[in-house]
Amino acid sequence: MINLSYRFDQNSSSLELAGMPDVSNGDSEATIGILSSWKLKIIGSPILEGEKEHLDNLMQVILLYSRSYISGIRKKFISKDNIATIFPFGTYHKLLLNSTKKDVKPLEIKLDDSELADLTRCFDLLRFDTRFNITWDINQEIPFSKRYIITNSSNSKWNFNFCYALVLFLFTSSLLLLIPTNNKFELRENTKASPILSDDYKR
Amino acid sequence: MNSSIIAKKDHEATVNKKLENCVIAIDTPKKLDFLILVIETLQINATDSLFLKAKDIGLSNDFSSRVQFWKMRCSNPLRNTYTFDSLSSEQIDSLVLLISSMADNLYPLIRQLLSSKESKTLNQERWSLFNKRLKSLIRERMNTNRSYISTLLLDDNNQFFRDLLVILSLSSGEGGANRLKASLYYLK
Repeated sequence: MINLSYRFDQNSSSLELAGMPDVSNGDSEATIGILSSWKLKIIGSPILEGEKEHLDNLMQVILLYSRSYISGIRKKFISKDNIATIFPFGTYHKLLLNSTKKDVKPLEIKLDDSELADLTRCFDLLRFDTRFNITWDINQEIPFSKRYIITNSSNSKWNFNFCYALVLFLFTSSLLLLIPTNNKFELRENTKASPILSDDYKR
Repeated sequence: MNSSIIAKKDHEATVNKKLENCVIAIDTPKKLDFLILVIETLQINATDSLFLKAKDIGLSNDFSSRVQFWKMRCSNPLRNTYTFDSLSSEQIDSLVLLISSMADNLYPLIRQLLSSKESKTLNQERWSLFNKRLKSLIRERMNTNRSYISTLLLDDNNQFFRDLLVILSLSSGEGGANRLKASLYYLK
């Protein structure tokens, strides 16, 4: 049995995958078709290991988070099987990894922008590598709708502008209503004839 | 042909693939122009490198002359010399490929600026140099009468500049171009 192992290094991240060709699928000797193990090392964090399902979950959140980040969306993303979660944490990004084993606390990893980029590039290298004949359970990069971006955008201050304007309008209108108006004022026709100027001269 | 070259060609083909049911986002020209501006900040004589890179990856005639390239960048409404033209999807694809490959070349430099593990004083010096250069380029090319630009120039927090660097870092590499392209469109 041929055991193959490939490694992807990106500064702070190093992803190592081991597996074998799937002969029934017609894989060449250098192609991994069946993944037996993977190991992810992020500097300053414990080594992550698991099955393909775990790697799929991790890739799902990291790639979606990065994709959203480019569109100005900063929000929490949870993987399909609830194994991996990522969310903004100040200027950092916090990655929460739940173990499938019981009574094991979730692992927290704090990533800075450069580490997030390294990890994303690592996963990019893996999914575009032709030496792997594995279908990854990840979403393709597709555009978001305008509404989705606006509602989830971190820079959505302008959403409130309309509300502020409406409140200000109602407030000033109600203030204007409080100003008393003289409803008793009558428009009377002036019946008194004005003295003719010539009369004054006569006197 | 080498398998990696085939993979690269396939990847470029997916970047050039037209997105269905999508429209170009309003801020696309602005975003692309600012990303090129950051590349120019990071690399002296970046325009020459951009043209060389464009030639390497076989981009269209728009990238053969400086005037054509400048005209494309003038679709950014915040520019001093704003032309009321809009970018075509082919031009956007080419710019995305160009920015992505330039970001790949400049990745070590971008990473240094974004890293929190670097020495604090050294990082501050790098950031002040980067800010100074980027702000001078903005002052030179953008319409400073626009409130958006004047706020950018006055702002010392520079979150926008950091965001641009993060976008560049995530646009680099194999899947980066696809990511950047998807962010320039809206789903209908």
